[in-house]
Amino acid sequence: MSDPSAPAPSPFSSLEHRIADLVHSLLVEHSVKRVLAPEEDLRLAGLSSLDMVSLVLSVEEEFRVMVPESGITPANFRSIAAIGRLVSSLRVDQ
Amino acid sequence: MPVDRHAQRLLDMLAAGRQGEQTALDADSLRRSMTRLARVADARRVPIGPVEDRSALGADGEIPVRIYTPYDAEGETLPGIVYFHGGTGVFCDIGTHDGLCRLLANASGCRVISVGYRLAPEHPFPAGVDDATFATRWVAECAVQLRVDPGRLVVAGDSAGGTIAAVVCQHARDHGPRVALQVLLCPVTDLAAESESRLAFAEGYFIERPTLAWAKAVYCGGVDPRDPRVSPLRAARLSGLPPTHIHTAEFDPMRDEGEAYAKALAAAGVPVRYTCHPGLIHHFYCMAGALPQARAVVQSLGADIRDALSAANGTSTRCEELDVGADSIVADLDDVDQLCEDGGAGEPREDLRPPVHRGLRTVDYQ
Repeated sequence: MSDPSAPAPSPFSSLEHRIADLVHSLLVEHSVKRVLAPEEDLRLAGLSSLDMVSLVLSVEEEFRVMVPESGITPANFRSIAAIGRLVSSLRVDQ
Repeated sequence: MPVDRHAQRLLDMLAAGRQGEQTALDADSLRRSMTRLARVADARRVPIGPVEDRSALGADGEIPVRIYTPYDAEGETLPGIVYFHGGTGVFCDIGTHDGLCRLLANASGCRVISVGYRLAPEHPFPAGVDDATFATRWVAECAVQLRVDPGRLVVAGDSAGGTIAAVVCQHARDHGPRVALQVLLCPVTDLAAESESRLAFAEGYFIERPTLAWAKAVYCGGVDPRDPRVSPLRAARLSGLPPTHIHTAEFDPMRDEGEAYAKALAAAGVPVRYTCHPGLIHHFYCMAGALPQARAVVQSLGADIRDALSAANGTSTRCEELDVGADSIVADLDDVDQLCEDGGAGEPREDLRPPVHRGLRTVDYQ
């Protein structure tokens, strides 16, 4: 029998979890305190274009990767899951 | 030259965030975003001497200041730079410009006093300018206590802080204290005109036209944008101002008005060194963590300050580690003569407005 007090399973993979932490720390600055879904659009959730610069630089620092110019696209940074896929591919390449 | 590749990455990040952006222009939101940006893009872990938070005495209360002592210069009496951060007069603060002030203190050998003047819309114009004027006077009056040489006082600022620095210098010329040098980085000098660079770089070059228009309205409140206290290029008299260093960035909407101010000052007999930094964008000086060239430029402009103050003092101590970058060149005398022929003092004229960038890098007007 499952424990009703146990936390709900995370919708994120471990890599996505680290990205989600970065995203949520940016959103909380704008009083957005809810947890986003993995595929939820970050801009619709309230991330500004300036925040996107902070997010990309933070992702690069967190995962010690350099996103090539061709990789800095709206699609690659649309959601936590999209960033996760980008980071995974960069870690293989780099 | 094209946009610096590191700067282009930042512009691409902005563009990626702009598509579908839902956030409205809001002072609090912009302040928080700029603070976060500074945390990841600013120069970090810059070794420096003591950094001290204090308060200057203003007309309407205390004004926060942060005082930076260069590395290995504790206890010495040094030249002082009173620094006004940019941010349209609506956002940014001492913290967002912390890395820049550290780099500047070390490169210039000056004690840097960064001023947290009041911002609009909570404190509309002229609160910020009043604070800046009082803070400058406070530094001059407390020079001995601050271990600042009052004979080598520099007033400096970037963007809207450059506007404030220019306005403070115009005020100080008539009312004191004596300013030895003014240094303006990508200054906003004319809120009432549309230069070619403002049009050419209206979109996609870090600070965008709608943001500038919104911030102008917030900052000015009910004041006419042609008022020289918000548009120092429009001052009736520019003669008698201190020697001036003006730096602009090639891909900055405010590039042309920075150059126009350099030319107007030169025409009024003020010694001016004007440098346009190729490939760079507005606010580059606060993103040295992400833009290697920005760090080199701040070191170079700091060394210029050190040299100018040494020359005024009768000695020369050119910084040997200066890295000015391969693309910085000094224009030949024909260019200088051509530029100096352009204007007389007084109201800025249409023919003082420079054309879209001609590849000019550095010009000394004597």
